[in-house]
Amino acid sequence: MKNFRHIIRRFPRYTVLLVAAVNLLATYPANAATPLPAETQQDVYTQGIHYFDLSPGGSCNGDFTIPAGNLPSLVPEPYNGAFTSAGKAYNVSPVLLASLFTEENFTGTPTNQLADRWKALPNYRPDPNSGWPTSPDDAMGPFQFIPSTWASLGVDANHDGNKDVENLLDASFGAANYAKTDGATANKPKSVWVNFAAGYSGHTSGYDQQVSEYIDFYASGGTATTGSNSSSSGAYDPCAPGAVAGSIVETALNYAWGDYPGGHNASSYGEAAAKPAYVSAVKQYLTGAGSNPAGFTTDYTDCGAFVATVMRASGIDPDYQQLTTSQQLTYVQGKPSQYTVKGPGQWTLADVQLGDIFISDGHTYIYVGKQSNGYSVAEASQNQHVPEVDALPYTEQTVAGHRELFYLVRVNGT
Amino acid sequence: MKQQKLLLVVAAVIVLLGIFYLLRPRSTPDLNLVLVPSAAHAKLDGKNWISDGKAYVTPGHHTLTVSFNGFATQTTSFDIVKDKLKTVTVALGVSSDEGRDWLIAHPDEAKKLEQLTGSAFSNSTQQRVTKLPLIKELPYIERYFRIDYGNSKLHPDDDNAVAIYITTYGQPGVQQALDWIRSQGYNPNTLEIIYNDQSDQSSQ
Repeated sequence: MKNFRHIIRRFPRYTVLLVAAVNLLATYPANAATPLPAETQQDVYTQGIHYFDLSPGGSCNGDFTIPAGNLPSLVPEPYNGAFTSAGKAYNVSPVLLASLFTEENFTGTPTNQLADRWKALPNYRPDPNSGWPTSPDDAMGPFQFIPSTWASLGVDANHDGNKDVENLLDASFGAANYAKTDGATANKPKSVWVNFAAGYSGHTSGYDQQVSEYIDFYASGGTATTGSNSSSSGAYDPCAPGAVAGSIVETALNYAWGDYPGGHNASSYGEAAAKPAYVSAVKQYLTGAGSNPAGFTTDYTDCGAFVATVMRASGIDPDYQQLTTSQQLTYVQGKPSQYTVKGPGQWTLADVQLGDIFISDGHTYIYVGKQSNGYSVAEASQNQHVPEVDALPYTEQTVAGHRELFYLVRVNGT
Repeated sequence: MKQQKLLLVVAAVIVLLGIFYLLRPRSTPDLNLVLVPSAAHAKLDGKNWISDGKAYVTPGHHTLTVSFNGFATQTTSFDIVKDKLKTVTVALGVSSDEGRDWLIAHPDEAKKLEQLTGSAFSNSTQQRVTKLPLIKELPYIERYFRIDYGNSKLHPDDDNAVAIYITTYGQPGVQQALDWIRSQGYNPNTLEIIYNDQSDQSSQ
């Protein structure tokens, strides 16, 4: 039985403004032609984004922050779009909405079978706006609202004059409204989401644990496996030190020094020079790291290894090509469903978004937004320095006599 | 007669020693050539093929042309001074998939290229910031404009030449952007500014 708990509005104004600013940042470049409130635009770009200074090597309690993000494509339309638009409307992660829907409709299904369940859904639920089962306690619709909760939090999202609990869009917005009202917004730690899920289900035994696994699964892009909270080598681990599930930028900032003392000192590389969280992640995610003296990763200065580690540890792409930059460029070009790649001359710096990756046949780096030292690029440099935020992006440069041209790579859906 | 023979022998020995002296290997090479790819074909002054590594080159001005399948051919000039080792580094840029495939098949060569490129990247940032510190403040974004930087169109081959890109989203954008640049202590008239008016799109 769903339990509508007492609503306590506990959001200080600055929290709301921060969430709004982050959302605007995520959407701004795509809508660059539309003026935005000045106070939100410049604040975001000036301050960069918050990142977490996690202590490496600490025990993981399973709590981590998942940004609003997007759902993996295995969640089909119209569900994907409904969860995403509802999430954006209420500053709630679509990952949470998808996880609630999954537990309500595919109860207890192991994550490795979810793709098949989604594919089969239209076979027995051909109309996403009607025909949902009604439970003995009158829970209805895709999100199984009980009437009293729906009366309080239901939404007429499609503006047809009817708050329809059976309608996918109305119900998705209602669930997002419920999550926001209960404090489970996108900027909150996972533990808050799981607590919300427990209350959402009326504290049904095992419900929150199952939702927790689905959160891991969807946040990882559909790769985390059921029950995995500590990983074997190379597998996605949302609790890895410094890793922020679903966030290239925050993971990169956790692995790179803000401004490494000594700057580009050729002697400042090696395990002792790199951030401990990065050293730990390299050993966890890169093949051969620490055991291949002639390899690319043992001094922690390889640019491609840095980007690959960020992509793997954040769960964005556990298979991201490890080496070299030419291979990485070929890799992303070969995955158009996952990456949009703009070649030299097809983009300017005004097109760049947070989390974009730059690749040439020789170098690669991540745009992380303007940081306190004035720089906005996180990168490692072969035999020069370990990962740090120490440079500004550009489209091309001269290298030993030739023009090095950069490709702009963006994860689809960001 | 004996004295004449002796003189002839001494003269012959001196001539031979002179020949050996002239033909002796020099102790230090003149040129240290660093090529990426190291197997690239390098032709000196259009005549002599030389390879990656150290070489003996006559003092003076020289032109080197380096080529390799899949990479853009590059020509560079340099001066050799007697008894002074000159290091010339030429890294070819990939010009086709063939070149990229070659780098993928030769990771050690890719590593050399990445080292050169990473170093150039860091240096470029420092040089550009030194020349125009304003770029550390960019992008700057307001309601009706945003200011970025980018490659110079006046000096496209000059790494340190930076242009200011102003994108406007409405009528006051240009004036407000220029006012902001002035507020940072810069005279817009001394900068290369490239405008992009997005007003039409903003009203859609």
